[in-house]
Amino acid sequence: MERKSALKFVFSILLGVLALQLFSPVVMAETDDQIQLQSGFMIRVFIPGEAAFEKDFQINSSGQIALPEVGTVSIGSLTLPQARILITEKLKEFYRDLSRLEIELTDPRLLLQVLGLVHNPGEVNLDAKANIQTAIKAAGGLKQGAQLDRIQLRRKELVITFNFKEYLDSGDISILPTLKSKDIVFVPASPLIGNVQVDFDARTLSAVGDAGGDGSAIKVFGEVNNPGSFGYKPGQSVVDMIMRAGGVTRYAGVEKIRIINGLVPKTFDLKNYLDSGDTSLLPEISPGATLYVPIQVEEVKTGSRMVYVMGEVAKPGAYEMTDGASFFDILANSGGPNRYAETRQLRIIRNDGSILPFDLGGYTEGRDVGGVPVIKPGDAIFVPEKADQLEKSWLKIAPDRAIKIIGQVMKPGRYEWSDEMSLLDLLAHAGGPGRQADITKVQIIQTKNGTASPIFFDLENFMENGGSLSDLPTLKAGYTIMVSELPRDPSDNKAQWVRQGSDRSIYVMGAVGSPGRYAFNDNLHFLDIISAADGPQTDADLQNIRITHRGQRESKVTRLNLSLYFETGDEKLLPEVKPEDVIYVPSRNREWTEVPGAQMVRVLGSVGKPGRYRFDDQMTILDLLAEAGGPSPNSWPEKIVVVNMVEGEPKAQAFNLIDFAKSGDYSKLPVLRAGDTVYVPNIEQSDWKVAMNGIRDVVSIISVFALLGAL
Amino acid sequence: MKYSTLISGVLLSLLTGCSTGQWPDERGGGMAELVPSRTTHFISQQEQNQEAALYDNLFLLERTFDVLIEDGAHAYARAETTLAQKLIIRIRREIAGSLQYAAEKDLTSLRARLHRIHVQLYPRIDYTSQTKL
Repeated sequence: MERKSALKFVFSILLGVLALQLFSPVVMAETDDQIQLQSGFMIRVFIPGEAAFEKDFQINSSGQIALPEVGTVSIGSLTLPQARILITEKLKEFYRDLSRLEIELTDPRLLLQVLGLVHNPGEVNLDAKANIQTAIKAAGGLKQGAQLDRIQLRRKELVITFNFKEYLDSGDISILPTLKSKDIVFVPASPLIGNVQVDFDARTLSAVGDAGGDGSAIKVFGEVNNPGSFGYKPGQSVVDMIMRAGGVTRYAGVEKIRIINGLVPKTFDLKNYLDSGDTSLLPEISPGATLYVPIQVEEVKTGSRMVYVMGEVAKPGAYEMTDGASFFDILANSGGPNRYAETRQLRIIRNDGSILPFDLGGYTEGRDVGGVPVIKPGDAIFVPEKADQLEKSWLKIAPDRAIKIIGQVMKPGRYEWSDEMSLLDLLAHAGGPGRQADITKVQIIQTKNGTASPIFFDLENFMENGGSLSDLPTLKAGYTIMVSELPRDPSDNKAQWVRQGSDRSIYVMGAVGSPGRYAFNDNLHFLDIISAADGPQTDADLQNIRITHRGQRESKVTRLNLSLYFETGDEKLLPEVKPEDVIYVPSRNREWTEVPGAQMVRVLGSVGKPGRYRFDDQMTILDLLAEAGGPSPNSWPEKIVVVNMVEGEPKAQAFNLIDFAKSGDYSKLPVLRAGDTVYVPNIEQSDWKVAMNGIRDVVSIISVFALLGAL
Repeated sequence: MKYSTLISGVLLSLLTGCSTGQWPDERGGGMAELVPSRTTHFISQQEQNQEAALYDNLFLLERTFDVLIEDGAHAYARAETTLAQKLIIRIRREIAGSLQYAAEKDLTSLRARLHRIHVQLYPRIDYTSQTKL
């Protein structure tokens, strides 16, 4: 035990001696002798008794020291012994006793310049063991915008560029070059700060990249938070570069990130990588690569268990089908139909391509719509848009579920059709018939198997008289309803009223105010159409109106005595007229050849106005003679002759007007009827006149014979 | 003597012209509805000549017409009634004016017209089983 303590004591003494040897002045002197003097070193030159030499002298940047009396002495690049000899020789010229001269290196220092983007550029005086970082700190530190990886150390002609950032990252001091006095440390500016001196935010500047104009920089742009050029470092992945660029934005399409390494483009699916963790999916990044994160585009979601909801729902899209999910589950998950949805026309598009319609609106109203469809994976639910009446596009409604109504309705167009609707629904939806609509003959164009066939419906009759709803024509989608237009006026532009078919027209001709073609239907009668034609004119022959009934196998003309109708008011006189019939109202001034002789009485001879006159059975010959202007002054009223037109009867009779006038005996008035002839002879035809004319002739002849005899 | 005889003969021949029969006779009847030639007539008392037969037929049809008017022919068959009245006037004139053939035809027309009035007055009667007027 005592022996061990003695050994420890001896060992401690030996360590102490060794330490004294290591740190003794001798060792230091030997070390100083080997140092090459540099600018900035402090040299102590001591001469006892000389006050001027009681301070240290520094080697300036020119390698010189300034000594009293002696002046400058160049000792730069010399070792201390060499400098001691040179200084001693210089001092001998002014001082005799230099036996006690002491020259020693008191403080070895570095004198160099730090320039560039530092706060206090210029000469710095450093400790001999200082390095680049110390020098930069002595120069006030780096300014914003300094390019850390390209700091230069200039030593005469030599330029050493080193990566100060790499030193900062790694702590590897060997990266930094050794400083020497008179070196120049130059901190360059990053190209990112441009050529204009402005204040900038360093964080913003660094966010756009740190590579500057480096050709190896990785360009990251697109939907990242801080696009820019970033310095390339071997081993960095795409994820590293994206994170360096601040990560992707929420609009980024991470499945389609594009990378160009050299000239080879490549697509990287970040989502797939994150889902799988497969590092083999990470593409390599080569120097100078370009990385583009595109904006997110709608992705087509597919899958064996997907159900698609399209159209007018709150959240259309693809939904994953779960076991037991019903139609309403899926519809509810998609937010349900919105206010634009046409819930009556939902379509289920099956995976096999078949289409199943579903009336959701009818189902909610309790109607039998065939049950709720069962949705299977792969099916699609389509909720179409509700058709707006103001919607211009006819593509909103497919032809197989649209019905067209044209013509004289307030809002003609294509309307969505449902089989529970009727013609009245459709008309109401179209705003009803227009003012000029002819609803007595609504035309319906039926289409079936590629052919069209028209049917007609008398809506006016239905509206007035009613009837079973089954009497309404059955309409289907694809049909066309035409509501014709009534002609406004026959005198209007022909192009308007000729559109009316002849089967709905009646023709009025002759002595009426406005002859022409008029719209007519079975509900109108004779007086309607005569009134529409502005009635008979003043010279109309009301007793002989003729109606030609067309559209029958045999010819049929009805004669109407409208005058008798006005006299009696008997409605039975008015004939039944139908469309296509022709009404002719003759004029009393028409050609006399057009009036049958059986209807007239001919008055001839010596009357004021001989001619043909109408005669009524209630009239007498006196009325007729008065109408014909009465017997003329040279007439022979005693022998007025009436010729009755009768077969197998005495045809002629005489009438003595003078005798009647004298006696007033009405029984002597002759029978006169239409078709008869009245002749009033001239007075020259009387018996007396004939006799007197004969006597005058005889006297004349006798006178001639008597004269001849006298001669 | 010779000349005087000649002149007298010529004058006599001229005077005969005053009484020539060239002009027809007067028959009258032009207002027979007001001035009937036979105001009273009973079928049983009349000889059965053509004129009497016509009057008889007309008499019967007029009575029928009176019944129809009593039943409202003026209201329900106004036009036919008016025409029938005119036709009766015409027939009466024709008979009075010795136009028997024409009167016969018009009596047939009157009979048909009265039938039409009858039909309009009693529209629900089955006329196929009725005795013709």
